[in-house]
Amino acid sequence: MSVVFRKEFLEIVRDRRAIFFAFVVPLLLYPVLFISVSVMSPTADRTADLKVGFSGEAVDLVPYLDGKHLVLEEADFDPEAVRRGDLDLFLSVTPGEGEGPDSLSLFYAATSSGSREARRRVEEAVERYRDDLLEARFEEKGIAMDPTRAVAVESLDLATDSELSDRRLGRLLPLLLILLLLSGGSFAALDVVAGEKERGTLETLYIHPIPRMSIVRGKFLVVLTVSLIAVAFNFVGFLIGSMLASRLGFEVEALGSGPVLLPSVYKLTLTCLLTLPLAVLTSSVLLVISACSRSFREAQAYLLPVTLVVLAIGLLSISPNVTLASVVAVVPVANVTLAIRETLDGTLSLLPFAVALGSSTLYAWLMLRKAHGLLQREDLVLGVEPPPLLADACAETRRRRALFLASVLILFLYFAASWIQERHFAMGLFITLWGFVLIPALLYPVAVRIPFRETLGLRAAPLSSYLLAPLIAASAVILVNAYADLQGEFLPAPPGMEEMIRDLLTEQQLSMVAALFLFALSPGICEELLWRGAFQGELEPSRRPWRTVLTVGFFFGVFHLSIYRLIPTALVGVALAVLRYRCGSIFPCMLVHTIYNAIIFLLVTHELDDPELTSLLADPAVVIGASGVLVLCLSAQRRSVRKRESGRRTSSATADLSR
Amino acid sequence: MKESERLPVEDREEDGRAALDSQGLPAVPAIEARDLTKVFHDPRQGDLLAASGVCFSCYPGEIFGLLGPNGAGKTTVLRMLSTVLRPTSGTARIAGRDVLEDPLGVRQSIGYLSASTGLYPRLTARETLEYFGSLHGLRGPALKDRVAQMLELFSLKDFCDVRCEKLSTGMKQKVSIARTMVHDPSVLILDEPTLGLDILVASTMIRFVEECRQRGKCILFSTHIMSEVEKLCDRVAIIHRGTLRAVGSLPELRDLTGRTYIDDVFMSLVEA
Repeated sequence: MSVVFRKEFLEIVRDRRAIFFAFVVPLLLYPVLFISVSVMSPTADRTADLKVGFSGEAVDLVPYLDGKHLVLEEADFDPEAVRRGDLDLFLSVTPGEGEGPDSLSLFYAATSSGSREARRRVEEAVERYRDDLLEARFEEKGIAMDPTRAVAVESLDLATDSELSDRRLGRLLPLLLILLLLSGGSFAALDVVAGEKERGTLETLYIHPIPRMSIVRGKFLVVLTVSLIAVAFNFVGFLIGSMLASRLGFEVEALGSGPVLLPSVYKLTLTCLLTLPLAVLTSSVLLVISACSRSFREAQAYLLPVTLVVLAIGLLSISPNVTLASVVAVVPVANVTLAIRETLDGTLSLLPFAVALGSSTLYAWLMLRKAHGLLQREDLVLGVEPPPLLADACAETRRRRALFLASVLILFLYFAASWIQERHFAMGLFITLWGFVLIPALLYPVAVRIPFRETLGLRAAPLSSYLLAPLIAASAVILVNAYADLQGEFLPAPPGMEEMIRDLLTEQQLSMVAALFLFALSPGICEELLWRGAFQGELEPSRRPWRTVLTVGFFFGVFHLSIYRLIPTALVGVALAVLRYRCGSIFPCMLVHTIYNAIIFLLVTHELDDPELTSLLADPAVVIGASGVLVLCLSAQRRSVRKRESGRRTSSATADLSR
Repeated sequence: MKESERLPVEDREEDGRAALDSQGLPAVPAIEARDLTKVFHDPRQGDLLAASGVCFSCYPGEIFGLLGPNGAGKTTVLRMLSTVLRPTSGTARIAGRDVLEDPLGVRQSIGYLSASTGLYPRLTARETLEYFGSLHGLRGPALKDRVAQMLELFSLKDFCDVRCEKLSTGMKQKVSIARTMVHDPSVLILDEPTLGLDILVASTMIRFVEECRQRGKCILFSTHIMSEVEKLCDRVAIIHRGTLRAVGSLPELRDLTGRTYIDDVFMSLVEA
């Protein structure tokens, strides 16, 4: 192993590009970057003269604008001059009616740094003008009082320079770390496997009398070493750049004031400890990518999406609301980045730290094993046929793969969808469904190289399947409603939850068409393609239909991320999974799902839950009837398919005879 | 019974005439392929039979040619023998070691070279030889001596500290050959070693193969160039679509097919 390591390392350090990008660039990049960002930032314009136009009524304010490097021009009311670039700001005062206050308008262009700076200076002046005006009015009324002395505010920052520096570092370092580990190790990883395949040296290496495991370990160690060296150089470059920028009086907005200091030995040790499993994980991921590629260029093509995915998970570390607790501590990458942030903030507690360290070590080990496994494969070594990234045709492996990826997707949605929907519910839901749900569903069969249409169930279903869809959806609504009543006995929903959902759906102010598109049709298409399409299509080869439909139902329930909706949605998921299994097509499932969601939406938003309807839906006879209808409809699917298949066989036999 | 076993040339080999060493004692085959079969699984095309029931033996001091068109299965057979590929069924023994049971031992005994074999561009010729020598367990002065010997033998001394990426094609081929020989293997497996080489470099390669035979090494040599077969090979196996069609010396194959020219011999066996 050491022979392989030494040779690989020698080759890497002899590559000028690798040396330049991994070692030289970091030492030069950060000082240059910080100083240039500082020079180009608006703070550098504070002494520049800026043009401000004002209308006649603003004359009183003019003296306050002296000494602020503003060139004042009295002009007619013309705010468009700012847009044209003739002025940086236009100031207009409209006198108040009677005793009412004057109205002051500042016209500026947020797209121009000069205009923004002019606004800042004028606002400072207006503040002083207002204080003086107020003081004068107090005096008029015979109140001898300085309004600025009414409350004396003094802010005293208790945080030390070191703590401030650690906090700033905690926001920047985790993301920087991910990027550096991936980019620093990528050249080495791609060169030592994909590059060797391309040059025809990997086969040569494999016919020499050393265990293949030693070869893989030697290569892995090189990738890990180069990644860590790149991180170390970047870190040093970052500190030097920050100190240099601070010494020379340049201030970078993102870094705050003052240089970024080296954290304490304790924090640095913990950070290094956490970095190690992350580095092992990223190095192994890079080796896996490299192993799956036939050439350096192909590996580079895979690298970008993987980096984006890893970075997206790592973004959790900059979200202020996310802390290293419970489930986050086991999310790969995010656990380490959050742990590093909390270490530097000084808020890390022992248990989440241990869980994060343990789980990330486990993931690193699993990924390393995967890399080992792939590099043992003769087809990969010889580049005979590049396997899919997640290749294996075995049904049991496909099942495990589907379960793992579905779990990862749900975890991702838990954070990403919640975050985006909190900001704007309707837009967030749209992005969640058409982005986070639909795209993975469509990409999955392509990535793992399984038949696209067959897996997703994109094939025509008999007409009866579509005709029966409304009956299936209505029956499902009745059954789910009955179950929800039952669940209320042992797991009552929190008070006000129903109203909250209703408010959430109605306050979007969408037209009926738009609302039905968003709440009924979009889930009908996107969720079906994911759960009854890609997920069920991947599970079905296991030839255990009941286990498949129950698994699909369960995951569909979990996907809705609510303990109160878990079983109701799981029941709907099971019914839809049975439908897909029976008719072999996703389209009737989409129709049923859309109709089901539309009914629920109308019931919730139009408050159709009047007592008569409620008692009718809960009537045992209706519930039993709905159960019977559902079973009959699903059974009918099977019959129609059999008829269709037998019809096909007949026509095919006829065709043969005619030949 | 396998197709190749039905051929008279293979029966002749069974009688042991060729299996005598220079002192008239029975020689152990340096390479012995037994029913080697390899099936590749392609997700789109299903199972592809690359080699089926391949049986032959090669002896020390012999150049054995594996002759077949492109895609016949030559490389697959050689890769199975060199332990890069694991046979789907069957096995082989190289220098008395089984490819399945003792792959490391087999790798210690062979030198493998193919047309697609590359060199590490950022290592010098000397470093390349030292690296591969180290992988074969050579260390210290023994490694230095052996590398110096190889550099001398292949006239590489003047270029030994030049990076491989800067060497000419001919020099690169010499480094590759030296790399193959650095541990002095008893068996050489050469997969179309002259493919893409100009006449000068190709003749260097051919000279090297002849010299190896003189030193008593067993050389398994795959090619689709008939002139090389005529010039070099003591015995030839004709392979087509993964199966051996015939094994024997050129005169025997001529007798078998009733054709004079090697091209015609080959065509008649392939089309049979």
